Amino acid sequence: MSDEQNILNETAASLAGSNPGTADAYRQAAPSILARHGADAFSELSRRFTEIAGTGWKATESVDVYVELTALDIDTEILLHIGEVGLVLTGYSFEPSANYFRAVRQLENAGRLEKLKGLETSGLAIQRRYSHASGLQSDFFRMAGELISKIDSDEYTAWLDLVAMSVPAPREQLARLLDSHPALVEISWLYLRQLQAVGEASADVYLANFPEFISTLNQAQRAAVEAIFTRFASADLNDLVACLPPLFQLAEDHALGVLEHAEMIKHLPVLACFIQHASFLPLDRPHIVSSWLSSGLEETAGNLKAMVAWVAIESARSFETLRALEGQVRFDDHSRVFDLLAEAVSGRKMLVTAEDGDPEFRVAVAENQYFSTSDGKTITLPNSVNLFDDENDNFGFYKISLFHQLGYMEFGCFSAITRIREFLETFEDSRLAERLFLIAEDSRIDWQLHGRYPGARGQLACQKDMAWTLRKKKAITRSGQLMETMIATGLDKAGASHVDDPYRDEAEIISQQMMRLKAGSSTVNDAIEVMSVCYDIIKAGLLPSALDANKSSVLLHEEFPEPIAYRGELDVESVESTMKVEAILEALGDDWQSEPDQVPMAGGMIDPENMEIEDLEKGETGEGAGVMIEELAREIEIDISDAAGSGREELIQMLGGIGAGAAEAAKHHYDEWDYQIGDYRPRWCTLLEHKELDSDEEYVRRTLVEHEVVARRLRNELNKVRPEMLRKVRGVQDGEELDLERTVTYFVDRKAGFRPDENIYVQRQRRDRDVSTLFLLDMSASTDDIIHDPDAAPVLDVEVDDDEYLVEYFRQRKDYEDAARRIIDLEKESVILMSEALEKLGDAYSVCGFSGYGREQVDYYVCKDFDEPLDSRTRGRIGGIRPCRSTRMGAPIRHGTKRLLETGSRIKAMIIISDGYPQDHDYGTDRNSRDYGLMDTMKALVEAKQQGVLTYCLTVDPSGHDYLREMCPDSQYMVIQDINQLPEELSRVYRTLTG
Amino acid sequence: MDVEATGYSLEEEPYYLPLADEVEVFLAAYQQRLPVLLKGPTGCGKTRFVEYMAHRIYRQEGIRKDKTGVSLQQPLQTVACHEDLSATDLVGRFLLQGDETVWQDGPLSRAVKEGAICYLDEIVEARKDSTVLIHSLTDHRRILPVEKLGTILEAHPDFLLVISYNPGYQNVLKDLKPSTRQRFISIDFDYPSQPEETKVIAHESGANTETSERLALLGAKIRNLRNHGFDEGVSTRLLVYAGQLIVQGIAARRACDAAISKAVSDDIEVQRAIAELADAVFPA
Repeated sequence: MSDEQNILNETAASLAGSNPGTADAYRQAAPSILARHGADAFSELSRRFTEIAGTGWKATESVDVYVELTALDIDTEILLHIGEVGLVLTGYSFEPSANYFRAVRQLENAGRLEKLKGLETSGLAIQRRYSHASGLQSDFFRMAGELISKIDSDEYTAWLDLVAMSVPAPREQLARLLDSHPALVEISWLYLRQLQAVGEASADVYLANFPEFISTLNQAQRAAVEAIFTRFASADLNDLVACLPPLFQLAEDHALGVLEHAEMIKHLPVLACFIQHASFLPLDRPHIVSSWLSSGLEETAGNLKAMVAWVAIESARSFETLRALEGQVRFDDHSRVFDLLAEAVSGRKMLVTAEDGDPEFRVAVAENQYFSTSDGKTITLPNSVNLFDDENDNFGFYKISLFHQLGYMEFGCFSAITRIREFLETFEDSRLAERLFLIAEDSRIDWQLHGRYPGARGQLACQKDMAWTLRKKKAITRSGQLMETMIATGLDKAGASHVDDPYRDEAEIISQQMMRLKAGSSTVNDAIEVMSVCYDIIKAGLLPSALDANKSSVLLHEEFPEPIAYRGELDVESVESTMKVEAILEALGDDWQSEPDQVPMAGGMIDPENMEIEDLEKGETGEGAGVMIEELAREIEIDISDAAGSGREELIQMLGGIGAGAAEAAKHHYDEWDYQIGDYRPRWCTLLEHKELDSDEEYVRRTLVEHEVVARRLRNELNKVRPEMLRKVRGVQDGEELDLERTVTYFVDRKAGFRPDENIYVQRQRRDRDVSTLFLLDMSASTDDIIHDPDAAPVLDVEVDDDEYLVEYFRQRKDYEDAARRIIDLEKESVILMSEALEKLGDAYSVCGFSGYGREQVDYYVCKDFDEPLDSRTRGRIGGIRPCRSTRMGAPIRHGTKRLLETGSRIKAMIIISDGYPQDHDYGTDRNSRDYGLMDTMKALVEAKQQGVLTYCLTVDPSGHDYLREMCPDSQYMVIQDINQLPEELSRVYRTLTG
Repeated sequence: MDVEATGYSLEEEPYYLPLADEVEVFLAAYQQRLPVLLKGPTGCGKTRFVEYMAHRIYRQEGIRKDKTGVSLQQPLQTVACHEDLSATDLVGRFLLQGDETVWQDGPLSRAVKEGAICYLDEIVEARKDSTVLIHSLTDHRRILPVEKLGTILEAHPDFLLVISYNPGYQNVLKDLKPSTRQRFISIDFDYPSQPEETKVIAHESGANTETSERLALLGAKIRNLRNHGFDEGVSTRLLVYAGQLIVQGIAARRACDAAISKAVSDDIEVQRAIAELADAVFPA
């Protein structure tokens, strides 16, 4: 027997001990190994097979692959070397070596055996670093095997290099390179290697997010993202990645535009913020974004916070610049004009408000998320409009939208609303009937507007064109196409032209029907008729017999055409209830006020459900009106029992008639000054003006009794206040100038021999006072602190050693606290005493409090308004002031200033009583810094001064000097040392300010 | 002299479009020589109504008691009252002429003597002494005491006192006292309805019907804003002015801006709202 035969037998026997299959495979391969590589190599290889097989459980699996390799065209030397490496890799598991052999097979198949060295270097490096992590090692070889057939040689080298570079890095980073995510085939390892060379962490972040990129970004966008990663490779890019999701929501070209614009930005936080807020930009007009961004970067250069605020559109200048560039029109800037227009056109007090929230209007309209609405008493319009490049056209949107909403009233739709609702309910598919009616009626109203307001024709056409452009042109279903025909005709577009052939005839009829409404004399009845005809046509095709018998013939909501933004949506039911209430109020006239007792007892003669508004307007309510109100109130869930004895205004409020102001807090938005960016943050704070407060009149009465002496003193002091207004008094004996006419009469009389009147002078005398003062009270939680009397005896000696004592201690302590005076008490007492004294003087004044939590909720409580009398209601509200939450001062001061300006008084004074520095949870980015709040408050005080409002800050905070000195000039603040002096000081301040 | 009084010769018949029965009521009052109070907002046609009635009475109808056939040169004396208007201004005063004093009748004395209609426009604006002065002329006495001369003038049988009063914008302090108010027959005036106002505008301004219609529509809409700082709304007079500007070739929107928006209010937002309305009402 030859040596070779011995080796063969011995090796086979050894392998068969582990796995007979492996032994068989070896036997079969042996002749060709011998023939190809010679006896020495055969002996060497056989020994290696045995060694590998002996390393552990299932190691023969590796041997199997290795044996297979011998059949390939691999040099003897390399084949032996592979075995050596394979053996090394079988340290703890067979898998790394098996995968290694497979990878070699892949290399050979791909004809890239020259990459073997790189493969081994990296693989062995991993083995050295993570010797126990056989899974990691095997993953590497598996991935290496997969990639070799999928990516080109350079990319493969890059990947190998990356692995080698990542070995010393944290394990997760390496693991990510070995993750066989299908997306990773697409990644550019060359790029990643380049990135890794600059910033290891960046490459890792990129790799971790690549699957998301590949699924959401196209190639050009990815290239742009890669460019950003390259630019900021050395920075932490996790923040940037966190800002990317909004980008994925954008249309492809918009997202690319954002990324291209991002190239202009040099600072990563700014860039991240820009991408995050990009959806608020007019991305379909890149030139605007470009100029806005470049002017912003130039203007804010050197101030990172200001840059961030600019790209987030959170600074006033950024906001204004963008707005000017895109011709945006904002509701707030024209709200009063809209109110006036609404009142002028309708002859009623309508509430015109803006939609809450501030989405990118163009996007919202394009996606049919936004409509103007009307419920008969309130018209809601968008917050801002930037649908057009031209500001005039954007304003036109508002105007046409407003006129259209008012048109329901002006052209007779609202007055027939009950009849319409009842008629619509007679249809099988009443929702379809309602929608068709609204399409017809909306079109009719536009045509009526066209006739009555020729000056608005241009804008009307412009808005119709835009509405048409924004519509998805082609509806699929027959009913959809026919309804679109109605809309198209209403928008003055060839109605039936875009309809599929089979429906063309029907579409023609519908279009002709719609055209009937174009006549100047058309009424809401015509719209109803047109609706009926169109309904029958559309419905005919929906009959179960005509289609699938199982399918419901009622159209789903999704199948209705989207409303047109400027026309909006009308809620027939709420309009009906509004109109009924209004009609009742009108029918009742002033009787309601004079004879409130009659309301609950009148006989039930009218059923509100079936009453026509026209009847009401003719005054046919008779005696049943009272009952009707009751029923109606029940219908809209209001407790009418509160109404007895109240006036018309209250009744309107209760029933929610037209012109009823919102009983809940009115919202106001105010800018806030950010000293860090050197600019205002526009509409930053939402201030809620509340008029409903807890009432505690007893508190006021008690205060007045307890402090009777102080009250009297205050009154006496205020009585000394001199009127400051000069008035020209004619016909006095002495004065600054002569009254010419009286002088002539004097001489004529003397000449004629009469006794002349010697009162011929004009004198300027101080006769009037024209003063309005606002007392602004800090209601923050800190005003709940007890004012300790230093002279008072201690509550109890604190020697807590038995339970009974403890109970007694807490009881006494509670008594003490209940009886103790708090800062808020002092504030309240002071204004109560002042109010009583001011009533005697006759000056106009208002008492308000403020607190709040965060910029979205600054609460402003009006206890007594300038024009309100000091009666039980206002007294109760002042008494009811309770401490709560924080002190955000800027917005309340701005609001107070606005209110003071509205009084039109010559002297306007604001006296702020607080107990500490301005503080709120998001008052500035740094919670520990007081600067932001102080600077904003200071700015608000300066603004007040510039507008002619005298301000004065009174604080009971002993450390008040520190910040008040910064906030206002010495003459405009006072820190009250002895807190009990507050009432006197208040009156002195008042006299100084207004005297 | 501080009186803006003019005697009207009223040769031509003034244009007046009756809106209700005001002409009949006035004529009936005149028959009985009952003093008349005209109530209504600015520019709604009160003065024009008095002119029209004066023309009818003195130039057309034979209802005067003076049957001598003497045609009065100035059948209507109007006085625009203001806060410095005193009794002297109405009754008359001595004037210096060279070295002596000469008595000159005031418009009221003139009307009382000649038997004309004396029209005191916006009477509440005048000083209290002048309102009291007319009391004796408005009851059965029909006399006017002339204090300076120490005489009493008895009114001519044809004399009639007409006053006007605008309840809209007078404040409480300047309200007409009941003792004065209750001496007059009261005729209420308001702005005409849209079709009537269209006719008035067309006649007065010479504007075509379409323009007049649009002006009347605009007027009606603007009057809905009465509560916003201009209690009166826009007067027919201003609408006529706008029409006249349009006839002169001024673009309609500009004419409305000049004659209406800027005239009715100083509130910029109100002006803007009116301008927007005018823009909508008139074709570009």
